[in-house]
Amino acid sequence: MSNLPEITIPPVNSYSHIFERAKAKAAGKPIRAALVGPNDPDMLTAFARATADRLIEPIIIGDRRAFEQALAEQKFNMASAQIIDLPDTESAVRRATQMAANNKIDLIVRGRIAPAEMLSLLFAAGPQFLKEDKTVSHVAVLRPQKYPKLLLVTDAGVTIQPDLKAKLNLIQNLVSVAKAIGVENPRLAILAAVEVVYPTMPVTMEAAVLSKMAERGQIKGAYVDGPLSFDVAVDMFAAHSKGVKSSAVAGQADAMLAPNIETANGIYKAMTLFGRCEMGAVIVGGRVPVSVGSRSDNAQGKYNSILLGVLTA
Amino acid sequence: MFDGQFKPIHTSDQLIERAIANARDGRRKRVVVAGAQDVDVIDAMSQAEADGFLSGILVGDADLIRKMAAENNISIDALEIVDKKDVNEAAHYAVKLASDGKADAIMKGFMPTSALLKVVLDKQYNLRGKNTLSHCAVLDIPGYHKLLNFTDGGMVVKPDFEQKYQILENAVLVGRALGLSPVKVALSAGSDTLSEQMPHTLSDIDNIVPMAIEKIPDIAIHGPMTLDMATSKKAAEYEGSRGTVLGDADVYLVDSIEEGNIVAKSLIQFADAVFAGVIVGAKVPVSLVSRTDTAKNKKASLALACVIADHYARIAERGE
Repeated sequence: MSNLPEITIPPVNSYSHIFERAKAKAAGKPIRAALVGPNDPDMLTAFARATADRLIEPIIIGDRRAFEQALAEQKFNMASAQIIDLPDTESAVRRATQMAANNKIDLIVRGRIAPAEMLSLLFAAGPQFLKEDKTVSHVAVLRPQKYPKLLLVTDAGVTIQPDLKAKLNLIQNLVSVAKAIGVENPRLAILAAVEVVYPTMPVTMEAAVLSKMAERGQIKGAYVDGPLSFDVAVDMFAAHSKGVKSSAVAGQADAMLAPNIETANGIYKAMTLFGRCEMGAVIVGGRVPVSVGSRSDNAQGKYNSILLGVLTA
Repeated sequence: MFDGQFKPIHTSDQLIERAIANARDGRRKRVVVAGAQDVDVIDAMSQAEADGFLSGILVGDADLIRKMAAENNISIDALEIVDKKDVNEAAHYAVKLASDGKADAIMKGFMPTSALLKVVLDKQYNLRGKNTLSHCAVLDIPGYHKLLNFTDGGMVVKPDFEQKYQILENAVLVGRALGLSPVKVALSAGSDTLSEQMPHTLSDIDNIVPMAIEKIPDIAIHGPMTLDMATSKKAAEYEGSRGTVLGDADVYLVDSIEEGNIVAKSLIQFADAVFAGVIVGAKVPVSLVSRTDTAKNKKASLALACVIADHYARIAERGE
């Protein structure tokens, strides 16, 4: 197909742009970041690098001995790190949330703690971590080699099966992360298996409702369209082949709302393992953001998650 | 089941080679297209015929088929054409050929999928199987050491446990056709632990797993697990988890059409995965390609349908 429209590429379209932005933000005042559960070698590497890059003021909460041992093995200089010796995970997370509530830290970085355990401890912290009018959600930021810009995906880690109201909250968090990393007015695809509305597929109907709400100004700060299948969302040829032509989003999505956690997690893991993507992820909506690497991320992926944490802090 | 006479198929190239080898052994499959006035379908059929793995019967608007072929320099000399201008009539004709044993696989042309499947399921043709129809997206993902079947991302919107079990049986059948032994099935979830907040994880373990182990020979099934557990030994090692399916899954059994469809498409879009799609559950495989499929995807889809059809033929020959 010859006359496909040009896609819009925001000025911030790679992790090196995100890095520059994080650097500029931290230049005035490094972000106070607490690494909880420091015995994850890749996350520790990433954390040390962020310290060396003067993005963060490092605080370690966890098992001091394990931390020092890991440090010796990896040969980092983390002399500036404040260490709070709390070997037990639960106490470590509780301390981190207390510090967040008392404005002693700006960012939590998840080290070696199972995602489910971390989440339940964060929720257990109640108002020390949760904000009354905010939803906590997971936002992954991908930069596939085969896509000329960043692609935000939610929610791969917190919200299991969002209803329409929850989806509105997820969108709000998604838009705020996009804005924080420098993607203004993101083009947001509401994902489904198809790009038409079927009464037998509730996901398509909610997507259509969200599109209409955006059209009427009930969702701000983003172009919203759905239902869109994955290929129609990111491939202009697919969009036009399938007859989705007058859309501000199709073929050039900056962000995606998946219908459930399995789907978002599947995209995230698929891209981590096979997608030749740069990526990172952050949990937002709490008192401070939480940088979260996946176990399948390498040190670069975990470093990227810290960059996202710095920008959303 | 296979008698071990085939090496397992682990790549899309091996899949195409197998289809060609079968044809060379006198087991060339006949594929009938319902509503063949679709340039992408004509092209895919022409190429597959030229590659030597199928004989094609194009049922549809003959004038339009010839015109499309001429305009796009597609050779259709070797393909049989049956003139049925009305798409519904074309569908009935194509399905009847399959029903009469004169075609081994059906391919969708220019008509809605649902219209074709309705005819496939029409009782008079006796092509219904005992299971629901389900879609298998068999992906050849660079970086993964074998094919991975995402199912069902195309037919059943939100399977209940009986449908999910039937989708599993259909996927195992595809695994057998690919020569896999055992077929390793990962039960997908948003996390690797059982959770009441994710009811399907409980239902999978309570219902699907025991039934599969009891009724399906030569299967390994494990879950709940996320995609990295299913496909990466490293992820499994990180968690200290063990199991024959971990990092080595053949089938990723998903819980909704959205999950199967979207995750598979993310791999096709960004990870250069080659995709072979097929609808199984009827007595003949049903193939569909879309204009956004690459030539390789179309060829792999047709090869998959032929390999599955050959598997059915061998079962019939053995009188099972």
